Amino acid sequence: MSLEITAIFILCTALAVVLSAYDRKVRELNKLKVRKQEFEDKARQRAENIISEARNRALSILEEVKLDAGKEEEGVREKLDEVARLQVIDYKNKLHNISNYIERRLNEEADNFRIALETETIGTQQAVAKKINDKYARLEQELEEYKKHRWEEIESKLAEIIKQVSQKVLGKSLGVQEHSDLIIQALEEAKRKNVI
Amino acid sequence: MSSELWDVIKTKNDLEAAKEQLELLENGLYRRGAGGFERVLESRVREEFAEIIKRKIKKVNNAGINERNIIIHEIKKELTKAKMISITVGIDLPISVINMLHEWIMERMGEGIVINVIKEIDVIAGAKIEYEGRYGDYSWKKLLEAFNWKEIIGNRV
Repeated sequence: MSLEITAIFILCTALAVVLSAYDRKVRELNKLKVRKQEFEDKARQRAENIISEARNRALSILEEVKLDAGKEEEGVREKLDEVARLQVIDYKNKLHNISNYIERRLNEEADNFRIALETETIGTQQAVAKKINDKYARLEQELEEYKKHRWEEIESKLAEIIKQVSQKVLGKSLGVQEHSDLIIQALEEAKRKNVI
Repeated sequence: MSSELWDVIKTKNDLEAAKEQLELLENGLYRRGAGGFERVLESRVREEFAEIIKRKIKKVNNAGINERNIIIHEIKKELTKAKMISITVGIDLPISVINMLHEWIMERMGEGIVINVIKEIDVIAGAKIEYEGRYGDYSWKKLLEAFNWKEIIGNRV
């Protein structure tokens, strides 16, 4: 019996110890939660401060930059105007020079062209005159040849016509006896010439 | 025999006809009726030529097939000796002129020469003669061609 009571006592004691330890830990945990909340609040506040400060700083820088940029723009514009003015002057000079050069070259070319044209015209006139003379001579020769050819044709045709007329007239005008005599004459001639 | 044969065969046409008739006679030696020797001789051989053959047969008493065959071959052989003279003239020659030409040739050139008459209007008159590869032109065509017409006419144009 006593053993059982002892045991129960021991167990109760152990339970008390455990509960006590548990309570302590629960308190510690709560403290830690409170501290964590505080820490997070502080950190958030600090971050907000930093951001706010950074924004102000940025705005300040932007203002400064705007001011500087305006100044720089003005300077650049002045420089550009100056450069443009110089360029225009230079361009005008060059244009003037080019214009003079072109005018000079045109005059030279015109002179050369005029000389060449005069020379060519004289040459052409001479060549044309020569061609006309040659053509005339050739035509004259062709005309002579044509006349000669036509005369030959006429003569030839006329001779042929006369020959044919003669053949017909002579052939028809002969009788059988005359033909016969002429054939005998032909045979005798052939005999004399040893053809037969 | 020769002389009487060449009296009858005067032209190239005569010669060719005689050869054909001899062929018919030769084929008729062993036949009777229309194709027989006698009938052919009477009806298909030229009269003057047939007379010559008949006279030859008559000379041989009782001439049989063999004798007739010999006669035909003798005539054929004689005909192979024929020479030809070509005479080109400008008109169609009547028989009388051909006979006259034949006589002239027989007298001056001998027998066995047949005449080949050729007609060419261009010849006009006279003749072109060809004999054994030799040739002579004695036509009026040649005479007219010999004229220098161009010169004659040219002076007048």
